[in-house]
Amino acid sequence: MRKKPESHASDADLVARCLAGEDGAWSTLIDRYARLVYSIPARHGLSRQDSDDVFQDVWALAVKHLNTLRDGQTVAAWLITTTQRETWRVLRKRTPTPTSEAAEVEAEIGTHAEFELLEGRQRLREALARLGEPCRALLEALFREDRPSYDVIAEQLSMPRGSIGPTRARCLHKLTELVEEAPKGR
Amino acid sequence: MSTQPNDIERLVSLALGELEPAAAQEVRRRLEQEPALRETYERLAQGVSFLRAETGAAPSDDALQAAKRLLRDARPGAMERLSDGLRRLVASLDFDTRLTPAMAGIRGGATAAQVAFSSEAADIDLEITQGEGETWMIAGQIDADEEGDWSITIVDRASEGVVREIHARDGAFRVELEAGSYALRLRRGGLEIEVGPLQIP
Repeated sequence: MRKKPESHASDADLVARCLAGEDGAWSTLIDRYARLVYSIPARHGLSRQDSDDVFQDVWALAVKHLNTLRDGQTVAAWLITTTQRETWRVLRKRTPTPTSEAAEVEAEIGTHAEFELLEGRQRLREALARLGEPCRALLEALFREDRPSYDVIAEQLSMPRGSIGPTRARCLHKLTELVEEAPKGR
Repeated sequence: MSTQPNDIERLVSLALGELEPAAAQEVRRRLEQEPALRETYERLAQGVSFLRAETGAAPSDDALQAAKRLLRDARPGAMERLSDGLRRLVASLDFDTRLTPAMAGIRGGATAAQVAFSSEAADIDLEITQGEGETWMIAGQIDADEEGDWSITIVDRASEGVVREIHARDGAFRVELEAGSYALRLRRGGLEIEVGPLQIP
């Protein structure tokens, strides 16, 4: 039987293989959820250094929780809750008596709305990883902070400049279709 | 009416804010009248919003590599822990009133918080209140299927040092702690439950 690509492995499979001591599985799990975890402290205004610290603390906790992650609760949900908590802890340490602005930031952490937003973005992230080329490369190039000109993108992707607009639309539509097709949770 | 490829292009342009005002108004008018088109637009706009937010939100390579080393470094310790015959569970946080203000109306900076953890062997309820001076009082109740006493080791997460060793008669305990981040290790018979991180205050 043909082996599934590593990126298609389920979370339960990856966690079981982590527990069996397979380094590659741990690496795949981190790659799958790295941006989800990092995005939480970043969106709450933590510095790059603090966000990196939260990122590492969450994975340190994940190592200890691997046994329980195998059962029931999805990895994404556990990571979101844990990262929110660690983010809140750093925010609270930074401003023990929160200003109204900090309180507003804190108030959003852990809400159902934020949880839904983060889960939705993770589904889009996973769909983007499954999106074939040249769609993925095109979308990543178009939405980069330092976006190159359309001429440069066209040259890099060997694509007529005039087809960037229509291709962009098709690729975005395909991305949203992949999200709809994917089962919720892994 | 089904969504045409040309429609998709216009919807993406609208989501990106690239349409001229008159063209944008025309598309918005259609969105009001065509639910299927509106649904497609909402999904595309969500995709655009995600792609915009995604840029730059990535951990540094150092942080990524450090996380990948964790399991390799932790494994010898983990194997040692598994071989001592003790069954270990890690409790999950169910709620923390400081994170979900609507739940109890008690919020950070106030005098109290309620925190609940659960595991397959026991549920743990904690109440944190202001103690004497700089300390905080933690009152806890461990609810397990079988009643009985527990021994609790409280560990400072920063130093990994043991801060207190206490006894919970019938699962109830009280302990005074200074501000910090702690892990509680509850032990009874051949079972250990790790609870935390518990942030005080």
